[in-house]
Amino acid sequence: MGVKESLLERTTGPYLAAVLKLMAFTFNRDAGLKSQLYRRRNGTVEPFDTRYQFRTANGATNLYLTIENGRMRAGFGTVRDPHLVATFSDAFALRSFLSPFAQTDPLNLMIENKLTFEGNMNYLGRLGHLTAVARNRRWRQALSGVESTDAKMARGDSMLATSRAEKRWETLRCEKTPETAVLDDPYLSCYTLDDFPRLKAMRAEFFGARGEICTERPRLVTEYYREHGFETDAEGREIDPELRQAGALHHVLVNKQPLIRERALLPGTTTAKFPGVVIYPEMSGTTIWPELATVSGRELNPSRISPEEVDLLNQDVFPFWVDRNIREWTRREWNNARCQQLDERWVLYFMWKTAAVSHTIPDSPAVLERGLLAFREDAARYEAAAADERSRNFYRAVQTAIDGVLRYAERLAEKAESMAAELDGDASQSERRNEFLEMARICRKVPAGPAESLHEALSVILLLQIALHMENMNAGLSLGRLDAWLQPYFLKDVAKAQTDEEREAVVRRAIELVGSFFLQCNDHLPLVPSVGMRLFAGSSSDMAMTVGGVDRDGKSAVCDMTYVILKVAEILTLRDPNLNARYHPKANSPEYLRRLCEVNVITTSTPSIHNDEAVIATLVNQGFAIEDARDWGATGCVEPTSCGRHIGHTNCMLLNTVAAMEMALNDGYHPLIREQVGPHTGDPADASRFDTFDKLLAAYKEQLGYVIGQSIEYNNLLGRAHQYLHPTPLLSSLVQGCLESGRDVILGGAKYNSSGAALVSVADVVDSLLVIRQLVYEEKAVDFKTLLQALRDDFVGHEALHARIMKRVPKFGSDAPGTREMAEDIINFIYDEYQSKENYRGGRYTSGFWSMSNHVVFGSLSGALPSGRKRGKAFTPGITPTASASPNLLDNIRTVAALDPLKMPNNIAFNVKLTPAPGEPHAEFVEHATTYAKTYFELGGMQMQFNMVTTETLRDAMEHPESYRNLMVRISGYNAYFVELNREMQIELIERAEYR
Amino acid sequence: MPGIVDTAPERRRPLIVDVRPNSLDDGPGIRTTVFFKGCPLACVWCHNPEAIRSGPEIAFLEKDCIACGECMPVCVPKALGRGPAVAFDRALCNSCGACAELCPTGALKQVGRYWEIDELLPHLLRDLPFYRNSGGGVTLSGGEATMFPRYVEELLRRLKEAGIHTLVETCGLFRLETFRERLLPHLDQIYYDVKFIDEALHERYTGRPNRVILQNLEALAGLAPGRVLPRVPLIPGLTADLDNLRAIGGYLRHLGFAEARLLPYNPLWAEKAVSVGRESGYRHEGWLSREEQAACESAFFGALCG
Repeated sequence: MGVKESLLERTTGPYLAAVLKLMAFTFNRDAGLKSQLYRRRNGTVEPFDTRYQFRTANGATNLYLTIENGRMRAGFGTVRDPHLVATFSDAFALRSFLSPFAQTDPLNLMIENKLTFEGNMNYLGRLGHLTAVARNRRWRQALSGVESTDAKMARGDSMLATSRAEKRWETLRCEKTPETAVLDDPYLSCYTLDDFPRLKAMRAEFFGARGEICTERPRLVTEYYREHGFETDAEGREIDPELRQAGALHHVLVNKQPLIRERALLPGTTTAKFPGVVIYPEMSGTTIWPELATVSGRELNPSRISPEEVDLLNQDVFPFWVDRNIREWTRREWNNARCQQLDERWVLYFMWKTAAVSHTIPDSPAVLERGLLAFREDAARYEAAAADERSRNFYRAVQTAIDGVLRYAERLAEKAESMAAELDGDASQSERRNEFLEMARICRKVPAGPAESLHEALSVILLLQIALHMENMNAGLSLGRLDAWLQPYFLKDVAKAQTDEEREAVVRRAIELVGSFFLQCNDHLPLVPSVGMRLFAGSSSDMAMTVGGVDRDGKSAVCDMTYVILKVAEILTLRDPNLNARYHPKANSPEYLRRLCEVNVITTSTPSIHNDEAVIATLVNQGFAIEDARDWGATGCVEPTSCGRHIGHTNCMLLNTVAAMEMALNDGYHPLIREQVGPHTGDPADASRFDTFDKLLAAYKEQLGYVIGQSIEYNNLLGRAHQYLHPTPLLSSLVQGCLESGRDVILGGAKYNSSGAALVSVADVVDSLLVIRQLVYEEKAVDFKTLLQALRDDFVGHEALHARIMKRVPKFGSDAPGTREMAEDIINFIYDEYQSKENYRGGRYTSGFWSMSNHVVFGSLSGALPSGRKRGKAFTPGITPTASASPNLLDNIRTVAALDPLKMPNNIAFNVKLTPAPGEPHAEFVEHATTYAKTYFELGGMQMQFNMVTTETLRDAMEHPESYRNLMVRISGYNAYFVELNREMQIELIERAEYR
Repeated sequence: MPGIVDTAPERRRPLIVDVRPNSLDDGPGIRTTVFFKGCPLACVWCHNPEAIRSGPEIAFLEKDCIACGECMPVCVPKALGRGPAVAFDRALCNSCGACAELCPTGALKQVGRYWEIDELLPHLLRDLPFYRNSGGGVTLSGGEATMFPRYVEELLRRLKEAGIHTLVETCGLFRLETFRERLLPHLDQIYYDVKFIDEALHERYTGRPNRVILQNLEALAGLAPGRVLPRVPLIPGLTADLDNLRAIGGYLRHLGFAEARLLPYNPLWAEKAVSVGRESGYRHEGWLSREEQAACESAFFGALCG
């Protein structure tokens, strides 16, 4: 330890003790601050006690802070029974957290492994809030003055509108194909956004608005449980979780404001704000606690919130949930299991299961066909015949949940009628008045009864989505095959038309209705703490929508509504719904594929395209009946779910495959975690022990197997927490198998069950193995000891070795002999590891290769790799080869296409950045893109997604974000707005290989 | 004319500079372009200067050199010495290629390697599905592929047997009889460069007069109607001269060509020229401006289409 460090070590304790004492003094004196030390319960105020212990890892500094009976105290030393012990890696880290001058988000410190803790993480969130309000005592005033960013962004959008107007696309036309019944030009080339003033206005409003945290849902659920009890009722009897959840959902649905947005054609809103950030305190809602007072001013994705709502969350809602959310309940139940501790070191795996299991697709077509009343009657019939109390409770819960939805629809009808009445006699508003009356009529008919028009069908789907989001977190709850499901209702509308003009009007109306649906799907946002921006940069609620492919009989399912949806995707260019297109090389037309590519060219990044044949074969291999396999839809990002009958929680975890590489290179020790994490597999510098490459490979697999095992163990514990804390009777009623079996989806009631993992950075692992094999074992150009030293030195002073690695070793994606085989070896190993494990619902685990934006985060936490990738740099996204693997896109395409989809059942994300040559005509560029896609799929490729944007444009967008408000990019499986991404993610996108 | 005699041994077994897949500018669809080493012309602006000499040579790209010095011990003629980067004395180099084998960064590179047709063909066939779906195929370029009629004949024949669209890019300086009998039967398309109408200018800037080139073009216009596409490289200050372009346009019109192409100037060749020690003295930084490009087009196509 240097003089400077030891001085810092010695002074940190006294300095921070003084800081904490000053803070305590301020809290105890200032009435405004003092109120923060209390909680509220049913209108009464009571002390909210928490005891904190802070220490450095070497034990040299110990500080405490307590909040007891409304008084804050702090000082040197230890405290008894702390709620939270926070251990900092060194004095620097401790200072960066507690010093008033260097405030750092505790979650970011955790990610960087500078802070570990024992106890309940929520208390750390509360402390974050208390220090934030102490630092800025005028936070209440600050929260009221955040409108300026909106105005700026709104201006940006209008600038963009002009620049886009100049860039008029000569869109392609297409002759009528056998796949469409009505459309003469399936590409609908005669329409632009200007033809739909309503959509244009709604879209401008969306891009001009900033998110606003909505406290309606958390307030209502908390209020319900306060009154009815959570674990036990007023008499102390245990409450059945199904009935408890159904009651709360019912309470939310009958009390949430029934709202109809301006200009919207469909009734209902997810929240009372626009766009509203939804809070699920049962799941990850409390992660925003440390930021409540600052979230409106943060740089990326600021969310507005009023001071009163901050108080509501901080003093009323969050205290209720401190011990009742998934993560903390799991911690207490299994005594902070090792697999949970490892999760909280962040660099091994990230578990979405701590937040949600909602990655699935409800059986909406059945609701369209039969109406919810029929479902309710089914449940009542099952209840009467049920043998045991538990399934009777489940059926009762289902009926309660459905009653809530029906009541919400009725209240929307009443609202629509009153809004119509307000417009009575205003001739200029007669059109809107009629729209309100039409919405009222629809709400009184559906979702209770069957739908009979496109307008009714879309209203039902939006209502279901809203209601399901009151129960299930907005993280990947997906929409399914809307083209095929809506087509019958569209045809009913067409059948009523008498003349060509009327038919044309029906088509136009269909575009407008679907457009309104798309925009209304964007009325809510996920809650993203700052650390989440690092983890899931720019991610939305990830509502995937699927079009195309084949029907249950294997015939093409592409239809008029496919093209209507594609037109809407083209003219609106929205991140959500995340559009996924199934392309069946044998059953779908080439015209359809060309249109998919054209929409990608125009929107720059949507839809992603899947090989229907490959995905179906994969599902059959996983045990799905062929008809059910053919009926798949994308979930969240890209993952296949058999629609309406399958709980596949396809994003239960993202796992960093590089972590096991770092462990294999260090005998199981992880350099960032600074602990022995995996088994002792030996030091590779020991040449006698690692005399062959296969031994090194075996060590890697052993470490990877360990990490996978831990992640699965944790996932199963979290699943059981969901079973107690958060069953979902409404969702269960909309998934086949649950009513039949009398079991909630979380208990395995669905017809099909599985859990899906995403494996991150596998190309970096494969490249590292290729380098080790060639340079250490085959050419003996470097020994392991030197290589390890070069990694520790981040290749500084090892330039020749680094150059040799970069230039002279063929990588994954070069299609050189032996490169793909290495990837297959790793992919097969991963497949076997996951498939051999069973989840808590009796399903199997599936592996896939996509990364959201975690390849950037995991990269930022990892050291230099044998692949030549330097410390902290982003990994490769999804299954995409590294940019330097080949200057030739076809090498990438052939390599990825040759991987066996059966071994990647949770799908892949293969990114291709494609840009037109200067002056290349639109039609020619579309043709090129189509050829790449067509050939890739012919060769067996599973999924492909484009970014059709030049590096210069991306650089310019970094400089002038205000001019690129709606520049959309595909990350790894989902779309995001470029200007909302963190800087690291923006750079990763720019550095991706660009082909033309 | 020594450039068009095909008797020297290296002419029978050519060196190949590069096999470039996914080429979008060398003919219809997605193509693989094979660059042959050796050319009878030596244009001062040559965009592939490393393909002019037909023998092996070493390219040295100084900006990629990290001066690690690994190359020096293996250089028998001592052509490599130490400096801030490695100092390379081309006059001493015997092109043995030992340094390029070792160079970790690829700053030293062996230009040109022998490919047996049995080895080259499978490499070209890998992208067959892309050719098929795009209407593409294989393009022979260079250098000048027609300098190696024996090799090229067999390559083209076997490509045609595999159902692949074939195209050659030529400077036009070849023996007509050989071309007609051995290559033309296997060629779907010929991209034919025309640089100057004025013979003296042609000789000054390409090293050869243009008489044979124009004669060959006239003959091919009759022999292979519809298969020949004349192309004019736009070289600022040289071919991109409005009078020259009008003259070429008129000449092509006179031969009955309805279609021809102008090739935009690309200044990136200069770095490659330095790397193989071929600075010609001609320099032009930057691309043609939009206005210059438009003026060239209007002069040329005005004359071509009347």
